[in-house]
Parts: sequence; structure tokens; C-alpha cells
Amino acid sequence: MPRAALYIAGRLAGALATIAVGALVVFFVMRAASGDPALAVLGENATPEAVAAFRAKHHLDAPLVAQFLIWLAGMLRGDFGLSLTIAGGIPIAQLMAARLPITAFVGLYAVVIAVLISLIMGTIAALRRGRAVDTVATSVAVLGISMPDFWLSYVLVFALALGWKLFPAYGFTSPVDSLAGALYSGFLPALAIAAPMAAVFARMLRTSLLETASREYVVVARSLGFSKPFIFRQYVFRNALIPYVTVIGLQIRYLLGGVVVIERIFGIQGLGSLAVDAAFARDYPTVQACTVVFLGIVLLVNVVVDLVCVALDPRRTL
Amino acid sequence: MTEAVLEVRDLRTRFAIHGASIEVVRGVDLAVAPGEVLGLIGESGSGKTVTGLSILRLAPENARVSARSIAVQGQDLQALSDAAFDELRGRRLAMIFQNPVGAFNPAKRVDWHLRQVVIRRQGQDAGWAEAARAALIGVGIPHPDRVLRLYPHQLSGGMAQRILIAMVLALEPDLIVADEPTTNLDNIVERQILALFRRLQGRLSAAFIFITHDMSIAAALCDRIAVMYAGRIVEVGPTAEVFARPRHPYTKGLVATALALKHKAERLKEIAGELPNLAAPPPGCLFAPRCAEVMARCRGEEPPALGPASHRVRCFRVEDA
Ligand SMILES: Nc1ncnc2c1ncn2[C@@H]1O[C@H](COP(=O)(O)OP(=O)(O)O)[C@@H](O)[C@H]1O
Ligand code: SF4
Ligand SMILES: [Mg+2]
Repeated sequence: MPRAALYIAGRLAGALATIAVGALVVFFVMRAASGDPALAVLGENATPEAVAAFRAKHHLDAPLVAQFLIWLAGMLRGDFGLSLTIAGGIPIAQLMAARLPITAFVGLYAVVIAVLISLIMGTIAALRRGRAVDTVATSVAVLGISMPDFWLSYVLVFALALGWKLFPAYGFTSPVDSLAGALYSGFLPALAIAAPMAAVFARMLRTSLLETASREYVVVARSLGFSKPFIFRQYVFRNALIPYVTVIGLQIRYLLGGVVVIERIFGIQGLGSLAVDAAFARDYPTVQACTVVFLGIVLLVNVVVDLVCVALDPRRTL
Repeated sequence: MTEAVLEVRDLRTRFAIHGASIEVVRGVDLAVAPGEVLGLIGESGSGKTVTGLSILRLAPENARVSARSIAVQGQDLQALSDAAFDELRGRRLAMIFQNPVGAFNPAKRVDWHLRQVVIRRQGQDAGWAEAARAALIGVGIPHPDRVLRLYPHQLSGGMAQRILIAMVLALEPDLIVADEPTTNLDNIVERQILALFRRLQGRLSAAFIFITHDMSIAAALCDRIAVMYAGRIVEVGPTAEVFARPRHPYTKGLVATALALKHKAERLKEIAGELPNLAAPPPGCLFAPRCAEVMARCRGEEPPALGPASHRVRCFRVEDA
């Protein structure tokens, strides 16, 4: 499929361009906000010699535009620079590489939970439209949408971890060490991220199922004598998936915000807590690098979701 | 007389809208003989589609359907459970719809649709590809392989309607309700599809109810014509007779309009006025407000079906003649 390859290449090139622009914004905003990184890191009372040495080491004497280009070129080679404070002198790429699997795992875990919950709830609500189950599910969904992640996290920690002692309240086993351990210790954080998303997804699926069920092609399928379960699966559900997946793609942005907050609450050593720790420690290059990686993840997921949509909907072409 | 493929007595369909209940099919009687094409004709909104859907138990959720009897080959359909009715649809009763493009599963190719039809007919898909090709060739699609790979959104209206007809015919139903199958198509394609129906008519054993609002189409295709007005059949008889000697004033208007169109008259002789509001129907004959031959009596009582069994008319004028 050369056409698909061409499309993906085009999308990736577009993503790279977007990342470059994003990096530009991040770089100059950080500089504008922090002033001289040397003073910010070393403190106002640093000796001129120390400041000069710091500036030389981190290429801070070059013009800003040159600094930006050096940074950008480095990232293209996978070199994100050196951490300033939180892990002084260690390559940021190395810091992030250790944490990326953790964040990816928690994020993916949350998406899987949200999709499972919403598929079940959305379908039940649509099939039992107007009945008690639907009303309850829809109300729970409204609650879920209006709930901030962190609030739900505290409720979950209290109930499932501290109260019933079913899950750990704090800490996380990396999936690199133990997949079962990661699934167990990551359940509460993933659920806290997933719940509001599941509510949005379930509502979308319910609406979309009801909409496709009222389409003319369903009446035609019935007139041909196709069975009800067959029509539900192949006509109603199949076509309702298209808007559902689109909404999932749109929600991924918020997912990352949720991950950052939840990682802090549950003490998960992922990219989100790295970014937050770096920000508190004024480790500007690390914050910049994390921001760029987050942007990259969002763009990548969008490409994947678009590909899934194209695969589901023959009316959409690459 | 051979047993009717379909016999409907006193079919009534009501819609619940905003608390009110409106009867849009108001006591329809229909009978279709094997191999016969019955034209169901009437202006838009007169209740033709709802009649067809009600017979197939496919009326919208807010509809309430009742009838003295709906029988297919003597079997009472009203006694059937919904599941049993599902079994019957497609195989004994089928429908061809007005908007062919919206009739397909948009996620699936044409070949998928035909394969499902083959499975529906024989319980498994053995030989489906051959059957699919044959079905498409049968409706005048000369290169079926190319068409079978298309998605619904890639089909023209005419092509979509041919395929839908092929799907219905592949199920070999005993009765087909064709609901204005050419109304959404442009003139050239409409003529092609009508020619297809004429060609099929000779070959098929299926009986048809051919719904249209076009008198000339009905005249060209149908053995008998039933004229529907405001939810009732106001005249039913053999096509030639209804066309040559229409007896109901509404039918007279339809025929005059069709003739005027045919002779490209400058001004169309449309029937003035519109359908009555069935939420508050006028007393007496529902056509009275538009009728050129209205009498005092028409506004008090509803005319019953009058005249010989082969040519019934709901009009008091028929008594006088
Ligand atoms: N789902 C529905 N809800 C309410 N009224 C309906 C519905 N479908 C059709 N009707 C009404 O029933 C009447 C007959 O409609 P229809 O059978 O489609 O007419 P025709 O096919 O003769 O043009 C119309 O007045 C229409 O507004
Ligand atoms: S019954 Fe009267 S009003 Fe009705 S069609 Fe006949 S003449 Fe006209
Ligand atoms: Mg209609």
C-alpha cells in the first residue's frame, strides 16, 4: 500500500513540523519566564566565574536563536541535553527513557479501562433507552464528566485502598519489572484517569447507537429478514463506532493532563512527575524536553486514531 | 379465484404526536393475486408508505397498527410473534425503498450485502459469489465484479436501486412492496429502472404492490390500481378501466393531470387544495373540501365503498350513476 505509506509519512512530517513549532514556543516562553537560566539555577549570589562557566557549559552565550537551533538539532538526534538540577549532568533522554514506559503503561491502561466501561455502559444504556438502567447510567455519566480526576482519586484511595485494602494507595511497580505488579498497583490511578473519560465515551456511544439505530438502512435490513442481533452488530454497532473512535481521539489530550496529576497523587515515577519535579527544581531543559515529548505523544496518538477511523469508515480516505 | 398472496382488511395506523393521536391509515382494504402488480397511487402524504410499512410490521416506533386481518397466502400475520415475523420478512414479504443510497450498510461493500442475502436465503454462503454475480446481471449490471467491490457511497442512485432490487429478488419473496423506487432518480435512470421492472414482471412469479404518485407510471406497469386519499382507498379497479373511466372525482383529477402532462399541455390541471388535517378531519367525505362534484350529503356522511366488487369507489356520486 504505497498510498497508505505516503499518507503516514506525510502525517509524520506534519507532526514533526508541529513539534518544531511547539518546541519554539516552549523554548521562548521558558526563557522569557525564567530570565537567565544560570542565575535561576545558581542563585542570585553566584560568583561571576561560576556563572560564566555555567553559561559556557550550556551554550548560553550564543544568540537565543542559535541556542534554539542547537537544542532542536540535538532533539532530532535524540539528544535532549543535560539535566540541570534534579539529576545534574545526566542526559535528559536517559531520564525520560526510564519513565516513558511507566507513563505509557498508565495512560494505555486508563484508555483500555475507559473503553471497556464505556462499551458496556453505552450499549446497555442505548438498548434499555428510557428505562431505569439507562437513567442510572446516564446520571452516573454526568457525574463522571463533571468530576475532576484528583477528586475521584481521593475517593478511590479512601474506599478501595485505605478502607477495603484492595489496592495499594501509593507507589507503583514498573511494568518493566513485573507486568502483574503494574496491573495491580496501577489499577487505582488508571481508574481515576479512566472514569471521567469513560463517562464521555459512554455518552457518545449511547447517542451514536441511538442515531444509527434510527437510520433507514436498519429498516431495510429488517425488511430483508436479517436477525435482530445481526443487525445490531453489523449495522448499528459497527457504524456507531465511527463517531465513538473520533471522540476517543479528541479526549487523548485531556488524558495526558490527567496522567500528570494522577502520577503526583499516587507517587508514580512517570514522565508527568518528572516534568512537575523539574519545574519545581527549575530544571528548564528537562521541562522543555518533557513538554516536547508530550506533544509528540499527542500527535502520534492522533495519527493512530485517524488511521483507525479511516479503517472503520470507507467514506473517509487517506 | 386463486387465493390472494396478500389480503388486508381494515388496516389502520395511528401516530402518537405531541399527545395527540392521528390516524393516517384509515381502514385500508387490499388484495393482491399471485403474479399481479397492484398500483398504490396517491399524492405525497396520503399514507402509501405507512401502509406498506404497516403490512411488513416495520412502521416507526410511535405507530400503532391494527387490522381486522392481514393474511399472506391465507396465513394470518397478526397471530405471529415478532420473531416469527422476522423469519417471514425477505422470504415471503419484501420491500424496495424510495431512497436506495441510504438503504445500504455504509461500512460494507456491495458483495457483503449480497453475501448476507444468500446466507439469508439458504442458511449458508456456499456459492454466494456466483449467486451475487448472477443476481446483478439479472438486473442489468453487465460488469458485476467491479460493482461488487464498491462501497455504497460510491454507487449512483440508479446503480444502488438496481442492486437493492437484485437483493430482494434473490430472496424470491412472494410479495414485494416497491415504494416509489424511481422517485429519487433522474429521468433517464427512472426510465431504465421502470423498463427493468417491466422486464422482470414477465419472468417473476412474485406479486407486487407498486407505490407511486405518478399516474402514468402506474398505467404503464400495473394490472390494477388502488387510489389512496387521506389514508383511505377511494377507488380500486383494473388499470385500463380506471384510466379510461375514472369514477371518483379525485381519480378523475389525477387522470386529467397525467393526460395533460402527456400531451404537454401548457397549463397543468392540478387538483386545487391540499390533504385534510387528519388531527381534526372534516366530517363526511374527506375529499369534500376539494371536490368539484360535492353535494350536501357529502359533508354529513362518509361514503362507503360502492360499485361492483371489481371496481370499488368511495363516492356518493357512484350511487347516482
Ligand atoms: N414517524 C412518523 N411519525 C408521525 N407521522 C408520520 C410518521 N411517518 C409518517 N407520518 C405521517 O403519516 C402520513 C402518511 O405518510 P406517508 O405514508 O409517508 O405518505 P406517502 O407515502 O403517501 O407520501 C403523513 O401525514 C406523514 O406526515
Ligand atoms: S362523496 Fe361527495 S365529496 Fe366525496 S368525492 Fe364523492 S362527490 Fe366528492
Ligand atoms: Mg411515501
